[in-house]
Amino acid sequence: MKCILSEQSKPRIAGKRAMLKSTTAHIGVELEKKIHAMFGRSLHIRHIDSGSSNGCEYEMMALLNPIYDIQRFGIDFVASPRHADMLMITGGVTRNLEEALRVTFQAAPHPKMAVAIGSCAIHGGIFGQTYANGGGIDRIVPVAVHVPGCPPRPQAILEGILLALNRLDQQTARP
Amino acid sequence: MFDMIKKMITTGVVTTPHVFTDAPERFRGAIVVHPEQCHGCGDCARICPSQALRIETDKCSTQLKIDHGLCIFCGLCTEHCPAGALQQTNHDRLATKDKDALVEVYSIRTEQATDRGETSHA
Repeated sequence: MKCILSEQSKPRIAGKRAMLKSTTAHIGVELEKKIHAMFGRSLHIRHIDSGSSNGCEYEMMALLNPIYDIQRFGIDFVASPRHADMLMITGGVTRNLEEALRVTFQAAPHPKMAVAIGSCAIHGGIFGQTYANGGGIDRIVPVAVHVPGCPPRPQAILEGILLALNRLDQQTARP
Repeated sequence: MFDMIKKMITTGVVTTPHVFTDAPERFRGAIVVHPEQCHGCGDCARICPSQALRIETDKCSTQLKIDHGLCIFCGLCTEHCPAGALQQTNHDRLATKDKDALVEVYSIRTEQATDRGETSHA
């Protein structure tokens, strides 16, 4: 039994090294470097649901599963906006959640970024701008990166995070 | 418990080393417009549930605007286009800093647009 386990553990370590060396993982490594330079090896994300259909949430949570496993790049989801460097906002801002979104954004410490995930967060998506639906989160808070999709794939969300970190270079002068 | 250990051994590592892989062939991604095939009939703009497609007609030109920020990638426009001018690709990574960059504008030939418009409304 012990032999079998030790044999199984060998390719895992080899696979991890191969992952770092392979060119396709280059973007992931680049992302890790950027996060390390800006936030000291970690990027903490607070997810805000402003009236989403939960489609985007499923894809976002898929980033944490064993297949994508973004925690290996130093990214994690936290339970409070006060611990967060980045706010990931889904949904088209319903009337009742508009104030909550504004207050949550104010609660996050500087430097902070907001990333709009999904079509609803960009323009209101299929709901548009109505009595009940705000029609996009950039009417309420400043948005660094828009990630289209209904819902976007986990890879698209991860690319959005990379883009947002580039954006932060321009905004670090803010108080 | 042995079942669990057996599963752990047989499953192995599932974490993908290639983070940015292409979506499957049949994935519903970004819409590509072939403006040379478009007649400007406006079927796509009428069928679009989120009004991401618009046809704007001036005196001298007709333009087809597609906004990927509004699009929900349902593919109804590609199914309903009689000329086959719209095509759905599996391209999914569209993240952008600038929201206006998601809007694509294509100019359509005017004479065909007017002909087609008259016949479809008649």
